[in-house]
Amino acid sequence: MFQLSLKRKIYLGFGIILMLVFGNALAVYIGSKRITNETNRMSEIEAVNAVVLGLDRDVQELRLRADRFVFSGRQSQSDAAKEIFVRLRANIETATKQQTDPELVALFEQINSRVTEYAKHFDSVIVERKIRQDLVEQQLPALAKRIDECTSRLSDQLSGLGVDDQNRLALVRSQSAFSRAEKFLLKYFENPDGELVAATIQAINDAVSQLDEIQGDGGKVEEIIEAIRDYEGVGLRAVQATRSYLFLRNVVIAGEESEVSYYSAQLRSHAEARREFIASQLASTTYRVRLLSLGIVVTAVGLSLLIATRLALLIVTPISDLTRTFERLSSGEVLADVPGTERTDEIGKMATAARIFSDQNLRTRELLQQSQALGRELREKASQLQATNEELDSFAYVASHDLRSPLRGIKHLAQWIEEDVRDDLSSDGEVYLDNLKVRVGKLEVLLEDLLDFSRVGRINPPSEIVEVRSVLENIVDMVSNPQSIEVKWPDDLPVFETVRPPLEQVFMNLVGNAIKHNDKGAQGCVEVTWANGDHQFRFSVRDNGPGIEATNFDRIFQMYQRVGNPTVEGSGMGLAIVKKQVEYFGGTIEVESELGRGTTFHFSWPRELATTSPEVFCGASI
Amino acid sequence: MKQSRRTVLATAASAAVALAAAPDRVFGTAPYGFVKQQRTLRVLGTHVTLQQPIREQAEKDLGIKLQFQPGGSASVLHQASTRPESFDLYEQWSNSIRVLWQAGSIQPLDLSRLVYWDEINSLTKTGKLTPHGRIGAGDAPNKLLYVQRDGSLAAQETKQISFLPYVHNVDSFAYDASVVPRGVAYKTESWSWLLDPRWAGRVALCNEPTIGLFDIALAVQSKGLIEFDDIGNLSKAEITALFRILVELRRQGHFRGVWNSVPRSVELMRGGEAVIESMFSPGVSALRAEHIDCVYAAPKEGYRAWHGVMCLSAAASSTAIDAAYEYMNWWLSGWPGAFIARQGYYISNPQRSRHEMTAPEWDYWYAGKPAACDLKGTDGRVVVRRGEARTGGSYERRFSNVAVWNTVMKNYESTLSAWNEFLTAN
Repeated sequence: MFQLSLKRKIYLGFGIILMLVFGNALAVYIGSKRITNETNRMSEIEAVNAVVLGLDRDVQELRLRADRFVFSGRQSQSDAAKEIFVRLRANIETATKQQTDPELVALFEQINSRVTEYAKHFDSVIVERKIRQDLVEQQLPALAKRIDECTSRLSDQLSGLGVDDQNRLALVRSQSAFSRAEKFLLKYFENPDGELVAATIQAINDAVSQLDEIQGDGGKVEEIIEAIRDYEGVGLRAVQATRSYLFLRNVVIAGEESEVSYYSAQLRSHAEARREFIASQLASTTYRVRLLSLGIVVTAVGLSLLIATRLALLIVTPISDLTRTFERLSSGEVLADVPGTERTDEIGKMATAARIFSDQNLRTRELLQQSQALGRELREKASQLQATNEELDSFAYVASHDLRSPLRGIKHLAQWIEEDVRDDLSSDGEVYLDNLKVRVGKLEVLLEDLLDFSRVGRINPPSEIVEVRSVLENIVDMVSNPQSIEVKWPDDLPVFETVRPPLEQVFMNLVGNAIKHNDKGAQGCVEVTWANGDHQFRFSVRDNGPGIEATNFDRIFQMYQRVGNPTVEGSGMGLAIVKKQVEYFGGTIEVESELGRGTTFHFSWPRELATTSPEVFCGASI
Repeated sequence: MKQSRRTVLATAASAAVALAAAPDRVFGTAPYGFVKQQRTLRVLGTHVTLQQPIREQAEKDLGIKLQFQPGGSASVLHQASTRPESFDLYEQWSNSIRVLWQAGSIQPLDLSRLVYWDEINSLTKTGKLTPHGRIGAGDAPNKLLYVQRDGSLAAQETKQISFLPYVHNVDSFAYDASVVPRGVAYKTESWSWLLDPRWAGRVALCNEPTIGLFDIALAVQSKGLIEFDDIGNLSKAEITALFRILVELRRQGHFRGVWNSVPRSVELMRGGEAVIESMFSPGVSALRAEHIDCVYAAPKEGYRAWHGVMCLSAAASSTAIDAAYEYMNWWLSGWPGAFIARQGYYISNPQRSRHEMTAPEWDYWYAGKPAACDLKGTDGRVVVRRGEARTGGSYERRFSNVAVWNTVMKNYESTLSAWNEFLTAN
């Protein structure tokens, strides 16, 4: 289970619960179906009992009819018995077809087989009964009559003799014996007994032996003896017919009846056993369904609780832990151990992410520490640099300031030479002197510019209300403009409180450069515009001069860097001073230019003066 | 002089052949186109001998059309006794002879027309197969064999006999050895086993008072419940006493029931409904062929014996009589004896049938020796497995231990009503 993702675990949990619910429904469905089936089977068994009951009743009636037929020989009884056979077999066949239990089917088939045999033997009973009826009721009386007639004729013939005559006595004894035989035989037919048959035969033999003693008219005697023997034969056949149907009734049919009774009892017993079995099955099924259903419900509930607990343990607790972990991480804490990283599921992934966050926190902390260290180092370097700059400015200032005196001395000396001994100088000497004066002049300019540069920030003149228009007007007045380049500005130039000299120096250098480098002659034009910012004014000085190559945009703000026409005088310090001044007061300066079409310098100037931060200062000075 | 079966048949049928040839001599052959009518012989009997293979073989050998009318032993007896015109030849047991003879349903047989009469052994003629054998109770066949001058039947030798002796056997009970512990022949196996309470509800009897009654009477006597004066001729009092016991046992559920035919007896044991019951030899063979360990007991009290008889109907026509003699002679010609030997029956002149049997068959069925190989029954199935010996031993030994012969007693009617009381007792 630990190999599965959290999502799959949740799905699996729900799946199991659903399966259990479905299983419960299925168990109840199957159980109810089985209960219905068993109830149907119970109905079948009850139907079997009803059939068996009817069958037993029919067999009883059949026995009664058979007995009555054997006793009376009436056809109505045999017909009634045959009707019962037909009904019995139809009922058995119907019951057999309705059965699904093979054992019950086999028992019904056995009963059917026995009943079929029963019917077959009953037919034989009918035949034998009729034979006996014919023999006893037709043939034997006819033979007895014939014997009687013959005997009468012989008796008439012997009537002339005396009563003591041996022949007459023999005839009388013969008649008496035959009469006994008749009685024995009739008795036998009323109540069959083998001893009566023996007595009959004995009596007939006596009758015959008496007849054998008669002497004289042998023809008539022989006729009587033959008739008596015929009577004996027919009588014995009737005896056998009696035995036959008695045998069929008492033995064969009774045997079949006993077999039918046996199978009927088996059927009842089997049906009862089946009924009990089905009843127990029914109870058992009901109990099992109930138990199974209860078991499934309990299992479902237990499993649900288990799954919920398990999922809670798997999800809620780790998520709580992770929440706390992320809270700690969000506060920048670095954790030595993040719980759940060993897991492979979503929580494991979240824990891994937390671990990454923790690592990031650690790295951030290290970077911060590093940054702070660097900041400290930077500040130290900036201090050092500021000190160095200050030293350099001091040096530049001192150098430019202090060099001006000797230079001025040189200039005076050169002037003095010119004034005093110029005429004494050779032509070369004059040239040299002129060069000296020019060079000294240049050096003086250089020193002035350097001094101006170093003075930026060093001198803090007091602020005053400055009209920018006035500033520009002064500049136009001061700046040499031999080509009469037009300088124009809007009328609404701002008036505000600031330090005038630095602003004036910035405009002076920018406007001066624009006029000085303009190559358009009388078409030359310089335009000063402005815009109002949040805390600053944004001024722009645009000219239509030769323009500056973009590659030189950085160079132009560096000290002693010159671009453009080299014939134009300049120290290369103007824009460096402008940049230093603007930045010193917290502004910025940018240049836009297009070769042949002119250059525009944009610079910002604070609306209100503020203390310039060392960093800004430092940054501007770099 | 030994004669082959077919030679003998040719001789035996000479009269019939002559008779059959007569029309040819009278009418000539061509061009009259006389067609001989095939003679038909109607044989009434039981399934023991009225079997399809026998009929086919006889018709093939004799050219006679045989109409077999098989039925239950009692029913055919009664049919024969009352309707002699319904058959030509009657095949049944010797116990039916007295009834048939009294009823005048059969006519005497002329010994001169019986080709193998001299080969018939002493069992039928004297009642004993061996000098030391005992003559069983009841109607031994020799007592009914010869027709006396006064028309009665007795053992006194004459030229006419009431029946032709042929198939015979001894019967006892059989048991399923998988349930009933196997006994020892003539020593522990006893008719009293039929009354053993251990097998209550699983005992079946042959539903025939002239047969099943003797089985159960032997059981009751062996059990010591009744001592009969003559078990072959029970008095009414003995019958009453016997059936009082039987009815009580039936009410106690001791008996599963009765059977009316051999297949039914097989069915009962095969299905386990009966584990011990009266049984005939073919039933035992059938069960053994189905690998049911059915043992045919050799009871120490002796067997119940029966002897098959062939009788000529009193109403048979002369043509039928000729055919009947041919058929009777054919039965003793060898092949039929060998055929029925494979079902466990004996023939009255066994030496002639010996030639039609293999040595292992003879040794097993007649000599009582263990089978040298598997032996097949008449249906081709193995009924005897190699090494098995016939229960009861040899022919001589079995017929030296006859307790009673199947008999129709004088009190037969009493047994019928008593038997009915037994069957309907609940």
